Amino acid sequence: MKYNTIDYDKTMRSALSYSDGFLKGIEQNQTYFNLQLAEIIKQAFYKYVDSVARLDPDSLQHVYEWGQVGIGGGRLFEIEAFTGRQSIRFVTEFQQSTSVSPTSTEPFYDKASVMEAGTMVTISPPAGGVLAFEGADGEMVFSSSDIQIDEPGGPEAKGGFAAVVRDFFYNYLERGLLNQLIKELETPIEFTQGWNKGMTYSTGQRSARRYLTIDGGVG
Amino acid sequence: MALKDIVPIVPAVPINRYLWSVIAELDADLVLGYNGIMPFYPLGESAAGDAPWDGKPSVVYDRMMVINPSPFYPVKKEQIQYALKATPSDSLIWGSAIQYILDRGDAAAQDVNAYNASMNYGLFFHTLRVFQTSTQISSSGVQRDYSINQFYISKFVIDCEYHNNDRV
Repeated sequence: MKYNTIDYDKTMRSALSYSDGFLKGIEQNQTYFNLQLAEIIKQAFYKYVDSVARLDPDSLQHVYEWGQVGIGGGRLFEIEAFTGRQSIRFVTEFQQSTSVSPTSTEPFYDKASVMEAGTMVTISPPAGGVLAFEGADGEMVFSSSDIQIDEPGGPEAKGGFAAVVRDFFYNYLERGLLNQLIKELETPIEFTQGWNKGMTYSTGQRSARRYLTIDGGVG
Repeated sequence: MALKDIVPIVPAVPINRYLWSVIAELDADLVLGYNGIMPFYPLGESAAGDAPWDGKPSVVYDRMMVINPSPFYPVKKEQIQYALKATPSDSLIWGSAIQYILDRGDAAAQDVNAYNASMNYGLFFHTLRVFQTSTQISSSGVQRDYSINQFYISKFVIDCEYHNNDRV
């Protein structure tokens, strides 16, 4: 029996080089992977908050334009992702409202941040004028003095957005989104797909890039 | 044939039918109390019409998101969000029932398929998972004001994987 040790040696070197390239490629593409992951998490976050708002509008109506609760175009919040090699950091911020409520003539610009914080609001009548608004019983109320609103947006608006953000990151994200992804990463089929005669350090790097490319998305 | 008879139905419909049927098996009296109405409503409760609630639990659901788990497009993955509206004690019982009945992976999917086999919905489920995302206490940080609102809202996500069949 004869063994072709030259061929064996060449194949082993090629396999080791490919594996090295794959590992290096994983390291090089960590930011690339995190960027994709951050984008998917952002999209999922918007979908999640919109859905909660549609199902339980009392707690989230303040972070949407008037009459647009749960609609993407009416959001008064944004989530930004800051991505590095080892981490992704998310920051949410409120935007100013530009729509006018049915009982007003001017936008309540900071309604999202004011109602989320539960800040007391005092409304004063214009000089020489009166305030006119619909009372709890549906009757029009006229007042020449200041009106104080202890909980603008209602009692459930205060902290409502923060609570949903917490629910998303603590209760939803791992079970609803990341587990599936982790499961897929546990089987690096891209590594075995590249395991052939032409394998080199650079094909290993390319396989790593394919491995860290997230095919799916959220819609 | 109308469009509604050709395109596959949304996954929530067969899942809700199955869920309600199992609840009926487990507690026939509870279901009788609803006078033939299945208390699962898509989005706004206005869809509930004049349903006789009398403080009974109900579920409002929403197609939260579609996840494309892989480039193999025929396999679809969807997450449905349930908002269970009930008194605190009913919330615990119903929440537990929803998870007990649906959070069984492949076995639950098979049961949903079998129960809806005659309905020709154009859907074949592979797996179902359920997890709770919030209770009212966790979602607002404080207990709901029961003097204003007698109900408690717990949220669940129903995660289902399926493919479409032709509707004959």
